[in-house]
Amino acid sequence: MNPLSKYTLKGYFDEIKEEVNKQAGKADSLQQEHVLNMLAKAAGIIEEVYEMDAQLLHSDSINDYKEIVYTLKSHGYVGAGQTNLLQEIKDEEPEQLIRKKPMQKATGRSRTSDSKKKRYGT
Amino acid sequence: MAKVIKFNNQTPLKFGHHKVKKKKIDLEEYGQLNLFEEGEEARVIKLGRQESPFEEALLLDENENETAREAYLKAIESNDCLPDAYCNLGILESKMGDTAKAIKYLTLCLKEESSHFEAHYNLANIYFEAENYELAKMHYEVSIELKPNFSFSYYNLGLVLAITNNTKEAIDVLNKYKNFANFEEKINADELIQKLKKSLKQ
Repeated sequence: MNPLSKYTLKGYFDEIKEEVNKQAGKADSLQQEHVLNMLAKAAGIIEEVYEMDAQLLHSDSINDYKEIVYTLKSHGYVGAGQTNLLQEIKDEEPEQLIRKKPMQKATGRSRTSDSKKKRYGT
Repeated sequence: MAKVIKFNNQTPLKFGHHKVKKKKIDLEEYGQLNLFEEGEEARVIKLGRQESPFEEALLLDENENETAREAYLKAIESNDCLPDAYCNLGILESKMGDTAKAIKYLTLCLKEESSHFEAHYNLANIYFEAENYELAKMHYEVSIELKPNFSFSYYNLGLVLAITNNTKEAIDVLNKYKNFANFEEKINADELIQKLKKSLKQ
């Protein structure tokens, strides 16, 4: 997998997101339907990418997917969303917060004067 | 008539100058006993450097040898690198799942050397795991005071602050972490910061 693809794809999804936000500002019901259709298409693309190679999805896009599914469902769209993908979001959320950096070993800089004497014989 | 002399047209193995080597004269060919023939080159044989008890223990620890724990205790007995030996023993106990003993050894380390950076940082990690976030926060802050360019302290402190709902402070600390982090770590930190920012909006 090319790691750049992940970020290119993320950029593409970000563009869609911007467009959706722009359109969402317009209260027209026809426009709103258009936005929702765009969202449904975006969700479909994310699902397709995920099924092709899950590694290609940036974690931000995965989180956006979660929000898209929630929005579509609340507007009466039928479909449960890609269950594996949704499960992945659930699994990853707490894990990311708990993954702290590891302990650090001391390497012997605090040598006592007594032991110095022993080692170097002075 | 001119005679054509063929040169050895072998391609040299490398470019550039070649050192001329002094030709060796076999004195015995001239009927002289060669008293100056060099024998085998003298070699310094290492008899094995004597490692201190702490160094020995550290070596065992690095190799994940089970006897490392005993070796650190031996180092403590012989008063060799006392604070460091206590500190590393604390890590081993924590790995074994004995939090109480881990805290005991790390505290003993701080008794020997109150500004022992690793002990503060490791104690913070142990309190973090034990979900004692107040103490974890305090020890991370001390470890930052002692070693301000150690990135892990900022990252873990950021996590503690995020968990305790001090989101704005967490974002500030994670931004500081980014100053010392490599490219990949910066991307991860950015992801975390974005998530925290989102949670602030909600």
